Amino acid sequence: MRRERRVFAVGLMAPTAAWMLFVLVYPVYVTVRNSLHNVGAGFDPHPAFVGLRNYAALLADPIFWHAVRVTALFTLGNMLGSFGLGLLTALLLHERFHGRPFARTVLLLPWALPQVAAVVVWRWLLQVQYGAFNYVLWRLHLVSTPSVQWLVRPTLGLYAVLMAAVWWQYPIATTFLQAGIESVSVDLYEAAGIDGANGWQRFRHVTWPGLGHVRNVLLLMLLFWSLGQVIIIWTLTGGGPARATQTLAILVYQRAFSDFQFGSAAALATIVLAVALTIGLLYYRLTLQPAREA
Amino acid sequence: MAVWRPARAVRPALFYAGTTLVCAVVGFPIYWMVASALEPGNLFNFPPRFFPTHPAWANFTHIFTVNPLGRWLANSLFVAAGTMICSLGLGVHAAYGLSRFRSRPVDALGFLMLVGQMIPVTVLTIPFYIMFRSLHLIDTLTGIVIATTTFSVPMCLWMLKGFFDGVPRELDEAALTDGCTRLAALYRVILPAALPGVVAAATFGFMLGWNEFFFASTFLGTETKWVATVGLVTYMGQYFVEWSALMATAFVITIVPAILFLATQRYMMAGITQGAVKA
Repeated sequence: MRRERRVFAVGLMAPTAAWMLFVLVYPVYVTVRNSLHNVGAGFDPHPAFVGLRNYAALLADPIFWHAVRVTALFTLGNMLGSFGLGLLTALLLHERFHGRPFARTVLLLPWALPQVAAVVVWRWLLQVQYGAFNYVLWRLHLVSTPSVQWLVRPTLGLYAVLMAAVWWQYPIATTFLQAGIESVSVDLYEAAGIDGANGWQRFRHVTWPGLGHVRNVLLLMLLFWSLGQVIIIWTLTGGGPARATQTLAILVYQRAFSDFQFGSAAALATIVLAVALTIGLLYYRLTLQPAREA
Repeated sequence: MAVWRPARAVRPALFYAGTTLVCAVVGFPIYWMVASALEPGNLFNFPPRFFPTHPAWANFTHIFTVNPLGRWLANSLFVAAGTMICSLGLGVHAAYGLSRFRSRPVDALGFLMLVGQMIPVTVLTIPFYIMFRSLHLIDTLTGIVIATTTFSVPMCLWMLKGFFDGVPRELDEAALTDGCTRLAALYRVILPAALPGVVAAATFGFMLGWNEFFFASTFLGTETKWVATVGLVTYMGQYFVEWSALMATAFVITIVPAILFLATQRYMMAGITQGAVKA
């Protein structure tokens, strides 16, 4: 019986394991191998081994450090924006009110859009001459001209990308946080009500601590989604204007498919992989491991 | 004594005003996409016209003539359906294993899948480009499906595992004592019990395939092989942008995943949180 059970378990996992070997492990191996070789546009089958020279060149490259900074800013902005908007909307949706199902649908819908469709809409909203966003800002006297160049001025590029990215991403945060808030015991709220706690105190002392685990998991997921956000950045600004939105993940792609420096791109990709692996380990300890020990 | 307390009336009013404002701001881009798609001409109006007074329904037939949009949508459908089928086929079994047969190697695979989800797409475009060149999968939709499963299989697996965990183990044992084989127990008893999870994972796999952009834009050279996302972005990048037609195209591409999402919203949301938080 024991043996039969084990055979069955292996049978369940083997196809997926084999498949992931092909689509994940092997590509990662290719990436690491390329990072140690001088791979150019021609894909020489036997490229010269260069050791860590690709890495050394990267670490000496100001473009790399600029990308690190942009990645940090984008990640921080996307995490805070999505978490903040997610928390606000989750708290709204936790209330019982007329039209709640409708509000819920409206609030979650951005995530249902393909990212490229979201980008098309934001391009149009942010259009310099006829964009609705500038028009509204101008009428509210928040900007002095109705033609703010969101996608042209380097100082504004990151804000434009963040707006679109947060708008598309936050509904996931809403979902997580709503599930988290609902799991907080009703008794605690009742006790807080008897103690005469006001809305803010209830949030500060009951909801927020109750969100603990969900909050941590969500922040970690937002962290790796931010690192992996490439479609919105690439299609909205292409990493520009003047590298203002060139994150590490975007730079990997440009090194490879614009500059044809596949060795350098692979070294960069390996660095990004190492970061992803570290976050993955953290996440693993936060979710999978406690379940096994329990 | 009934005293009219302003706070009692003001609070709900403030709440409704705030909620309406948030919904309006967040919902505006989608409204704007639809409204702009119905405007005749090039949308070069300032100030913008916020309500389409003369909706130009012809925009929606026009977009199928300026671009091979029908073809692109069919290609997207192929990639999305292919991704969905592969992810479910692999995901169902592995998720069941991860839910019922915990051991060190099983957990190791689970961890590998976690990491898989976290890799930025662009990192994998290069190795896939190299692999697909030797496998003659460049410029094929099959290649796009294969590459996309790197991300969809892990996501579907974690979603399904959350739902399988919710099915009591007694059900497995009851099926086994009734003379089912283990595999039959999974198909006939556990899967139906975890049906919401299967729906959620299927929708997710489909949406991931439908939204795929980077592999497709890198590997697909022939215009008739493009998927809708690539076509849309290329159309947007043209020198002379016809905004109303572009909005109509974006809208058409959005309809399929949006309807799927709305229909399975509840399951999807439960699936994403369960898979991620409880694990």
